[in-house]
Amino acid sequence: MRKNVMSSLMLLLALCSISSGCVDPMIVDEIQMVSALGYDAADDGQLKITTAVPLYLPSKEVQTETYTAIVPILKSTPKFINAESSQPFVVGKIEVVLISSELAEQGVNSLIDSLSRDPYVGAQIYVAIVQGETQALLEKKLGQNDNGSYLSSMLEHAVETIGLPDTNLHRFLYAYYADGLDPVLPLIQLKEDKAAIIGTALFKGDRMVGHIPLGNEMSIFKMLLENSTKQDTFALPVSSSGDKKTYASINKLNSKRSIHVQMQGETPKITIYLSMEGHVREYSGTEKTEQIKPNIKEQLEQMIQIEAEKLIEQFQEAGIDPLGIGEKAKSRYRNWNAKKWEEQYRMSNIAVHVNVTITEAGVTK
Amino acid sequence: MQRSVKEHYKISPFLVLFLVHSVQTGIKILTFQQDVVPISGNDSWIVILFTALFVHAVTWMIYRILDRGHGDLIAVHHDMFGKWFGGLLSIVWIFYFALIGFVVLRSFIEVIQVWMFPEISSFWLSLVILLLVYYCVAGGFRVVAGICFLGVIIPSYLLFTLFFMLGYMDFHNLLPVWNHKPAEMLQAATTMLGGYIGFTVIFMFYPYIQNAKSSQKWAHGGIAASTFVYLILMITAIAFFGVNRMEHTVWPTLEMWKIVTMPFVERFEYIGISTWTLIVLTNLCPSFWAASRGIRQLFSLNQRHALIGILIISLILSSYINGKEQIDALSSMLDQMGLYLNSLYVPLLFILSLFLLRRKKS
Repeated sequence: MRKNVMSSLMLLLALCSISSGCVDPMIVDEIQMVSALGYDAADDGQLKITTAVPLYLPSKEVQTETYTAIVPILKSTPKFINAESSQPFVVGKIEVVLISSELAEQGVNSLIDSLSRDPYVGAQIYVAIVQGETQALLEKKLGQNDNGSYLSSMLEHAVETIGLPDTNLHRFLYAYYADGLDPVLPLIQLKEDKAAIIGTALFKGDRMVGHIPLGNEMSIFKMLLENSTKQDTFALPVSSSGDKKTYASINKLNSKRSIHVQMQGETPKITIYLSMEGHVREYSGTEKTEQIKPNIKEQLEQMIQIEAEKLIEQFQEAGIDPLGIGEKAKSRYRNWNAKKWEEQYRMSNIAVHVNVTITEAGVTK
Repeated sequence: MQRSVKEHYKISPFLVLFLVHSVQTGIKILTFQQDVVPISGNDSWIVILFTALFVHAVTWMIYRILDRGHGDLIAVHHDMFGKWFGGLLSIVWIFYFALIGFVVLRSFIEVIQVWMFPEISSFWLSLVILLLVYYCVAGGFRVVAGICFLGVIIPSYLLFTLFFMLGYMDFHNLLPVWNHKPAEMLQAATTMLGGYIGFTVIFMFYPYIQNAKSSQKWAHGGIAASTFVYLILMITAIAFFGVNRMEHTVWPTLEMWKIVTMPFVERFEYIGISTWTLIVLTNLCPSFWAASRGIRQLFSLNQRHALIGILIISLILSSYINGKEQIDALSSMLDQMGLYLNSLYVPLLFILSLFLLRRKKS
């Protein structure tokens, strides 16, 4: 009995070593780990795909090597690109996927499908739209690091501080499949030698239909989009008693949002409540902060409300719902219907209420 | 036929909890959301509660049958229906137990082939896993129970990975509650039953429990533990994916791990699926043990020889079954069989046992 068990154990060990030999080994030094992918439109409905691979030099510098291929269908890329490279490509370390705005306007479903189908691609990767060519962007040396991780840390930083909505592959797919919700993605452009975020691309289904430019508008959009947001800044023109135009810069600490949907017969009445806390960081006028604080609060509330209502009006006209108002209504009303909602959404009356609290104003009176 | 087991081969009653729980949660737990959600949408978590109630009722019946009878299911069949017809019914159950093991084995190999190593051959992988199964089952039922205990305790850390998904969950997806028709809920519940099958191995290991009658509460505890895990994973998945996207995923539980990133490991699936081997082992061991024990009881063969026979057949079949369609067909065959055996056969046996078994006793 004992002997039996021992011998089967030995056999097991032997087999483990044999069967581990059944799979091709992947050695880190002998593969090309793709860190960024770029999709551009080519002639005759074909695709131009650029892969960026970090190249670690002996001098401890990191460069980005790019390989470009024109392919009829996505999945044949490895074959075409491998024809240029001495080592096989693997996609497990992709950090950023870039899609040119030209392609995005035709629909990104087929591109996203190949990413979500692949078990080796994570769900936390960034997907971004590039105004212009992705190839040109990926071929530039953007920073000290390789381009993939440079772009991903740039986007991460933008989400935290400049009011870019938090997006990744998972959030895109979630919004794409959900009823009453449309996805958004960051919009990037190559400005001289630097990559710069220029706004947020808006989608209807999987087609890009427009964008919100960087600035107060995008910051307000993020506040409307996410349940709670953190760090951001606003530049606010303040009309004071004199004729000289003065500006205040307000540092937003946090914001909270809630959406209330009420059905009044067939037309929904939607109210969005925004509350925000901020510090005054800069004021170009001469008054003391105490005098100007209520004024700043009031004008900031007004500015946010006007901008927010303008944005929402744009969305209603374009028939897109990036804020997920339809999704909210769906969870509240049993006989919600996706087809009918499209019309109801366009007709609906959406009001925004803003409440700003200015808590501090720095160390100057 | 052996009707009673020596005292030192028996297990403590509380281990029944681990046996029942581990044989229920195996491979189906990776996919059950996408089977149920297309039918009952955001109400799927209610469906799980209904199914669990039903499974509790079936377990109660199983205990009533066994408390009344002398020995395991094979003995009960023999006493109630005689040698030939009873034996025929026993063969159906033996086939069912072996099929549970085989389907779990082949589905797990598919997971490895899709998520980790596309080129790995099913034959060699099955061989390695089945040798491990042989090692456990040949050690006797106490070893099987021990493996099930560890197979619940060790992988339980995987539940903590759900915290990574918290930031992506929108519980509005669960609302409005109960917006599906009762017929849809019933259909979804029959699908959900596929996640619970396997607990009928109680029929075979009942004589191996010390003070068997007192173990019933532990069996119910095991089912409650499975229900808890299913419920958490269902609610997480609906909140994480939304109802529509669920229809486009094959392994929702694994797909959720795509979002988990830690400083020392980029992709968590590799750790998760490797840990899953232990969970799968706790599915394979009790079901193959039950099948081989059945053969031993019915044909008076050596249990070890019966086990080797079953394992070799499984090994050969597992390399002949290829591709998603065949595996799905096989697994839906098992679900159908489980549905009929659990929801029709067991209640019928229970009612008949009230008459046929009592007469034997007097």
